[in-house]
Amino acid sequence: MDGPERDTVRSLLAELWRERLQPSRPGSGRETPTGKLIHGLLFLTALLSAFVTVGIVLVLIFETVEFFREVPFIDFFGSTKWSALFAEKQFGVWALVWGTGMIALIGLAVAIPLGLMAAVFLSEYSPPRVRAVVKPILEVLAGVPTVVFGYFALLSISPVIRDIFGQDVGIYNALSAGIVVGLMIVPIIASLSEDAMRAVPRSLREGAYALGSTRMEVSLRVVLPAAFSGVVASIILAFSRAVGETMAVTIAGGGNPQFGVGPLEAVQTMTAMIVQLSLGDTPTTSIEFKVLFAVAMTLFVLTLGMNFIAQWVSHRFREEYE
Amino acid sequence: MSAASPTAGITPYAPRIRARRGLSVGFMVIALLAITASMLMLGALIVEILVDGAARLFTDGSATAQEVRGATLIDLPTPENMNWLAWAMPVSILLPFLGLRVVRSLIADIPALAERAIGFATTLPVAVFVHILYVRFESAYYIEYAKAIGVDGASGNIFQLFAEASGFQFVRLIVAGLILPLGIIAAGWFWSNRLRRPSLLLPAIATAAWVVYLFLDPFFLSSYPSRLPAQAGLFSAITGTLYMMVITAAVAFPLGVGAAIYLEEYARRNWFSRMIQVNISNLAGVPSIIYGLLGLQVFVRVLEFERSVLAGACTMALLVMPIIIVSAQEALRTVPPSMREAAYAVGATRWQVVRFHVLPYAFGGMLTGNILAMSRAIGETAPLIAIGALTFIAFLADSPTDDFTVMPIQVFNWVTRPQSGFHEIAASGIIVLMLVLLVMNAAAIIMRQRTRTDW
Repeated sequence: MDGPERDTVRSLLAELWRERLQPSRPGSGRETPTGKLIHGLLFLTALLSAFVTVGIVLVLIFETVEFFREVPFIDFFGSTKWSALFAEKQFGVWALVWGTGMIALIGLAVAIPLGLMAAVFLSEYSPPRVRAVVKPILEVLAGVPTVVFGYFALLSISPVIRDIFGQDVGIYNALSAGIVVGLMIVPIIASLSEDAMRAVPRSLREGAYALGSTRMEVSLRVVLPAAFSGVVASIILAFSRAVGETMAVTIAGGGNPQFGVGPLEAVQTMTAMIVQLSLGDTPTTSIEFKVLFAVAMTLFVLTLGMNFIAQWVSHRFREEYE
Repeated sequence: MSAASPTAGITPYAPRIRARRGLSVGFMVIALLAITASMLMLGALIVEILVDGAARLFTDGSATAQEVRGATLIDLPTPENMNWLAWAMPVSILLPFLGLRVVRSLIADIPALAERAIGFATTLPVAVFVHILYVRFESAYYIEYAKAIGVDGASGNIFQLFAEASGFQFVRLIVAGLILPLGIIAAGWFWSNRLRRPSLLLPAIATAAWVVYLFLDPFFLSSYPSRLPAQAGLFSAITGTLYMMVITAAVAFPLGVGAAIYLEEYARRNWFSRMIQVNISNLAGVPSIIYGLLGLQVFVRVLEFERSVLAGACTMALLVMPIIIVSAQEALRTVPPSMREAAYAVGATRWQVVRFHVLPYAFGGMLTGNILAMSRAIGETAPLIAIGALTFIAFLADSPTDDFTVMPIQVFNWVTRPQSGFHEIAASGIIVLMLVLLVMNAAAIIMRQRTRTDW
């Protein structure tokens, strides 16, 4: 092959190179019209998640503003009396925050010891084979529907509590709801804390062992402080989950929105109030419908704030190792 | 010189070392106890649910249980009324596998095609079984429907079903009655292809399912909610869950995977992609009931879907999308950059790289994430209550715009009633729900192991 033939082939190749074979590098590459269309579609799907957030905020703000047009700000945040369904309506959100906070704190009191113990055990003590079995089980536990935990609380734990504290304790009480919420968030604390502890480099542990530390000393004085930011973040996330938990506290917590009641009495959380108002046939123009969104807004700001704090803690206080 | 031993200064500390060791062992024992106690507690609770709920799910073999409750809706093969299928099923599943074992012990190297054919033969009965089960459920509905509108002689056979079905019903028949069994056949083909040795896992599962089915009391699974606990059933909730899941997956999977592909393969690392990323992780932390309020305002009121399957499914899709996006991103990250660079080097466009070189390797991980997201969606109750899904549905959804209920809502409704009879059927409902979740999670775990590629 020589002469004009070779020139033809060469020019054809050059043509091909220009037209077809030019590599399109990420970020700078040439794209076919179809490719551009696909690029645009994929961009839209990514943008959708931003729209969801905007949608949530807009929906909540819109009805909340409507609500505060009818009810003064001070009546919502400055009062501790809640009676949305009675003739004489009062909207003191602190009555709901009390119930929410109590159940979430009881939950944490159950979940922190169990979850941290489980995390320390899995990360420092257990043989890899045990860990390979227990960790997926924990993750499956995290996926058990919350209705099931509600059943536990109402029909299994509440009777036990009544046996212990006397039969004058109501079947609906904050303690049983708090205990199951605790069981529910154990997997979150255990799993995330364990990840943080395993990320602590081996050399730290080996150094401590070389100095004659026992296993407990390594776990509690070396690994736990080194993984502290991750552990705290996991606890805050679990708290946020406990605050947003809905079905179990609706089933087991009772419907008693009152400020200052004890753990053996019925309470009502913000989420349970939303469910209660949703179950009834509330007209969309009524004040009961609007207060739904004001409560949801409070809940949203609360959980979002906690999630941000968790992220900030895990970044700000992270110990960096090479 | 005094005869001081060189270890004189150390001996006093020996008790302290012992004490420290003892403390360490004690700590481990406490940790073990804490974990065992919580596991035992959950175990006890699960046993309690099983004991409470099993009574309604299984027959004790006597026909009287059904007579007490009233007429059964469907004539499923029960132990009293066993047909040839009852025996043919486990035998036809087990025979090919046992046969393969024997053949293997005799001939060292059987052809790959024969192996595939045997795998195919094994899954075929399972598919037929699923198909029959589904058609039985459908016929129950049509017989009741025919009674209600006063048509006599509705036998509910498959040809009549197809002849009378219309629109959404037809789609439903096709999807659940045909595509589901075909999917199982495809899975069996895939399985026998991947598996280089005969495994008893599939026939064991199928046989167990069949035995459970024989003793299953069809009444609870095939009847509608009722004022009386003895006559209430989970039928409309099961079908409602099924329809909602199909639509949710169809909406959420493409959107979530698309977003993941954009973030991993297309987006530059700038403030915008960081913002989207932070936004997704925050969305995952928003309480589910707030998604319900979003769905109530956007889908139910603004888009006027009413309180329908469609509105519920769209709300659920938004709820699980962050899970799908994050798991799909992780799946995409496991594909090494060298794969992409090699494809770029031979002149592929960006979409070709993604479509032909990245997606095939990441798809298994994406599907796993999707199954996990769906199992989350099956258990969610709060958002559906917020958008106003009903708790008492005595009919089946005939189109995506019908009212509906799902399993956890039905369970919630039963748990909150005062009569203990409803608590028992709530436990039965929980067993069914948990079984579905268990199967889905097991599928996700198996799939994760099978599709993992080590680079």
